[in-house]
Amino acid sequence: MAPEKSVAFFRYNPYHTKRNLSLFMDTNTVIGVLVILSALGLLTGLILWSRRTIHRIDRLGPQSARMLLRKFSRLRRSQ
Amino acid sequence: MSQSQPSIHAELSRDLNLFHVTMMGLGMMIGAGVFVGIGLCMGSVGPGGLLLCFALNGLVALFSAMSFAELASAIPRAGGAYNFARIGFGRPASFIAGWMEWLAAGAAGGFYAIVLSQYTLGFFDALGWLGWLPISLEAAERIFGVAAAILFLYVNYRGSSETGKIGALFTVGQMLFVVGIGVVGVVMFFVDPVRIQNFRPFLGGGSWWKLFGAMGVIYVAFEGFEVIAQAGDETINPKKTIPKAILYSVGIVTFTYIAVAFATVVAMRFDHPALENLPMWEWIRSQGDEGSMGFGSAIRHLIPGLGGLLVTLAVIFSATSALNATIYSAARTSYALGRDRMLPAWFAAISRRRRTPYRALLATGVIVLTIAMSLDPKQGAATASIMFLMLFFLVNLCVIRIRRNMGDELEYGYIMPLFPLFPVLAIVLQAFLAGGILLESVVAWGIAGGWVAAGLLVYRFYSRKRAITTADEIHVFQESEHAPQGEVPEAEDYRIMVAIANPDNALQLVQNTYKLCQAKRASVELIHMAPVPSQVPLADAEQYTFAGKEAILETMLYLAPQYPLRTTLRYCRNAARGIVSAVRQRKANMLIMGWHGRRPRSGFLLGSTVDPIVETAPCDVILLKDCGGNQPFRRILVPLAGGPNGALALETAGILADPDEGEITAYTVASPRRPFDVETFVAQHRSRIALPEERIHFEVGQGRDVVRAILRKAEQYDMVVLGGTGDSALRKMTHVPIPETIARRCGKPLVMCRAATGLRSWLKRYF
Repeated sequence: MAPEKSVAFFRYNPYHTKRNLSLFMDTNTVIGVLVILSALGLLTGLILWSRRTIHRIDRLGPQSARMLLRKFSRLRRSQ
Repeated sequence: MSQSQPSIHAELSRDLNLFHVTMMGLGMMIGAGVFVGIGLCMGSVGPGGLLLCFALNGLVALFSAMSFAELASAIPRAGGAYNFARIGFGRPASFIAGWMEWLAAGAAGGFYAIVLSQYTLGFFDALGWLGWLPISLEAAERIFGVAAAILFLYVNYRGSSETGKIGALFTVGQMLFVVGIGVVGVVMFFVDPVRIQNFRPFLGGGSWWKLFGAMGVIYVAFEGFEVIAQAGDETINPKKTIPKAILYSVGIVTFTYIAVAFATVVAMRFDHPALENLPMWEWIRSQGDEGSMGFGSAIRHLIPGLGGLLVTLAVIFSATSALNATIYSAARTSYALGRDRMLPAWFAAISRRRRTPYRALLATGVIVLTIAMSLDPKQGAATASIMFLMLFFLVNLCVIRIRRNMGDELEYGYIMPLFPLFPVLAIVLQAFLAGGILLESVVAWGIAGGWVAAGLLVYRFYSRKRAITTADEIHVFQESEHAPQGEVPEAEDYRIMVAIANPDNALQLVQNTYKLCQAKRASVELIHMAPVPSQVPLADAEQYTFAGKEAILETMLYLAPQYPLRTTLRYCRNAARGIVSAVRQRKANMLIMGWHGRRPRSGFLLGSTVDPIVETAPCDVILLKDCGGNQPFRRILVPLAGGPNGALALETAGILADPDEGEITAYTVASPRRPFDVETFVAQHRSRIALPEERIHFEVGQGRDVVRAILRKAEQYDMVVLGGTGDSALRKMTHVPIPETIARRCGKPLVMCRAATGLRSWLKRYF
């Protein structure tokens, strides 16, 4: 962005209050915020899911991991 | 009780828990990458792009982290990309993995050196302290960066690199600072919501495509979790702990970075004089090389007054720890390549004096210094990022191949969901990021491409014919702890652990250990800690165990025919920590150690190994000095001043005294300031003394100098048994306590006792 445009942008500044915050949302911002929230949500979900798996294998022993793997293998073969 | 000949059981000292290994990963990740990356990234793709970069990079890093977590849980002994590649694809891939890891860590080290010098000298320059310099600031920064790199190469040569527990404390400090900035930023936003307009325009002067380039450059801020995979040898319950730590560290670091990035964007109001002609993102880009100093400048405005100093301290703190860790990691990788003869054996030479791989360090130094001298921060970060991306690319391939080919044979502690979706996603996204870096730094791609091509040539013409089979290839799957069959004593309530340092020390401990074992009806375990420098993988620790094996065999010659025992030889990074960890794991009630009796280095009471053990071991500790041979102890002096340590000293003296003729003298020096009735004290603990009444004597000495009075009295006795000090740690820092002074000066055989009592010992025992 050219500096002149930046200056013009900041001289025209309609976003002084919370009420005007909705005007702040352009397409890039809306998509960007959605992508950020989705990424963080997926990241948190995967970590919690993985944590559950680790605890489950620890509780039931390594055989449970092996059974899980065999189950996956069977599924793969059947496909 | 079995009389069979015990064998020496070697195992690894596991003393790192989930907190320690998570902090280890966070310490590597929260280096200078985030501090410099924020400015570079915001200058390139604007404020919204900055947040997007961190969120999406966190996700991409998590996909790779899941692959590392799965492999490390199945192969905890031989963690690290180098070994995963060997198992997955054989030697050529493992060579390339090691070769790339070497440059990746070396380039990251060079990058951290540059950042360290930029922030340090930038801070001094802002204070006006560098006006006298005859050279430009840029030249001074190069020189300072090179000097810092040389300093840390030397630190690694000395072998004082510290990971694990102490490193965790440093990382906690870093984390507090970084999280603090994030919190201040969020609070500032709620107090003054108008600051959110700094996010306009959301992508600055960049575009959605440019996002990949920016993400690629700051990907270096997410590398570091892979070191957790290398800590499998030292971690308690690695199958569960390692994958959890890898995943947690990526999660924590992503949220932290986003909070800090948000704080940087809202650090200033739009009407700040500095932003009169520029939007926030352009102002950030104008700070340093393409915004490399943008983060520091913004935080100075966010926290006026202290901000500049805090940022400088944080960067120095994190960059130094990251510089140290990356040099150590790079040296360790090149050492492993030399050890396996994939590079000349020259790289695997160990210094006789320091026991560190000094030639691997030297070669690593060449890489680090070249990067620090020739590249700017952005190029340095981009070079390290590309190499890590390639490395992770390979590991993602490995996880697919290993699961398909060997999934049934391995014992996984973690299995990633929806396999192979995430490794495939990681491969695709990382390819995009690596391609995106081309938009930001052609030089970095040139270096990375040249390095990989050189690696392929080295392998083709040198390594292919010379590589040797190593222990890692043989013992790669599982390291299970086991006790020698039929040799473990039957379960006893009381457990004694004897720490043996060398053959001389072992003989000294034999006779007295035997008496204590008999008296306590205890099971006994001989343990030798073989400290291995942190640059040497624990898988190669065999060469450090000769003295320990000899010492254990010496001790067994005397003890084994008379008493059942268990022997353990452990590799560890730090002998004191290893011993305390072993005591905690085995739930030992008493630890017996020898003490050389030499004057310790300044700052220590008895020695750099003994002091931390006496301070932190969650059991009774008995230190023996010059108590070897078959000398009978007929007359034993027990200087007393009360307390649990004194009571243990009385009990120990009763056990060590000659059973037929031995007698003990409970002795105290009269003090008007602290009256003490020795007879009452002995009467209170009479039941613990295994001697008849007539062989216990009392004496009260006179004299203003307590130490001198006791030393004079000790001349008439065969042995001195005394309790350790009960002084606080603060008091011990300011003066040497009386018992320790006596122990240092006394020429007679001496035993020092420290009792485990109270809540503190109980807590130490279990936590």
